[in-house]
Amino acid sequence: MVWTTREPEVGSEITPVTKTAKNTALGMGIHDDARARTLGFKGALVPGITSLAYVIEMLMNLFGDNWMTSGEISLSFVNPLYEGERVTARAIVRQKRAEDKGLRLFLEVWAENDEGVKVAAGTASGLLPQIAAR
Amino acid sequence: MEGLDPQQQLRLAQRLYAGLQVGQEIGPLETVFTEKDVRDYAASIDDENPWYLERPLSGQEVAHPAMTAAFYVLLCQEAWAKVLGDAAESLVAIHAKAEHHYANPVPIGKRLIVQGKVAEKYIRRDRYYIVMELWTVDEDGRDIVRTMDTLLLSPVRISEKAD
Repeated sequence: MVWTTREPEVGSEITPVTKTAKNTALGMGIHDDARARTLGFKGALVPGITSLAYVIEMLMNLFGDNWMTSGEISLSFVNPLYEGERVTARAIVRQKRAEDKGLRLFLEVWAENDEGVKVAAGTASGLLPQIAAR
Repeated sequence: MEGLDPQQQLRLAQRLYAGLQVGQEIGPLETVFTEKDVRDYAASIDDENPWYLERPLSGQEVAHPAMTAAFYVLLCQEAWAKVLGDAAESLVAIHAKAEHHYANPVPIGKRLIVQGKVAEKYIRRDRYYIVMELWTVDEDGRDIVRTMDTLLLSPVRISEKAD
């Protein structure tokens, strides 16, 4: 086996994923407008796990099926994300490490709104897909 | 939906924080993801990638890796109801952090068993936090995903308590 997948360099940015945030838990707990406003927010919060799903979509695009068997992510939800806001999942390669099963990339990951405010931030790693050379 | 005021929220959070013990077991809960579940979830997060259903991994249809996270909410609600009773439905907790370690694809049409424990509880920046350690296996006993989820029990600061 040899590496044929384009190998991202340390410091390079992974192709981002942009979404219009959806409240996937409408009406539940802090995802309900009235409850959220009572507690000082401007409206219902989009669930953290929805931001997580957006970041994972970006990582699936990079790692492919390998993400499902080697992916690790630690993501803190640092600012509110509201329904209808545009949110972009981003990542930068911080480190690479050869392992028995392949090359593991370590990434800084985050999701930010159109004002550049991070709504989620953390780290992730996964094994790059290995494809046999022709 | 009618909500509790901040003081009532804080009192609920305080009761839950006191009632949950580190090491306390959570679950198990079981579920089976269907193809419809997977399509509905993909639509809800606007993810049209063919990883799920259309392009099976090793011949096995799989679900989105993050789908199990939605299931954890049910597990937490069950644990909270044991402490708070019906009032648990009024608690407004916020997901503060998620750590996921994926071991195997999330299968469709197989039983998934999720269980866990209260891993940690602490007060930080004047607020109550709980950390839940959860693990998901399929009906064959294969590890699917292990998670550590940190929950802020109430956005209201403890020092804002009125009484």
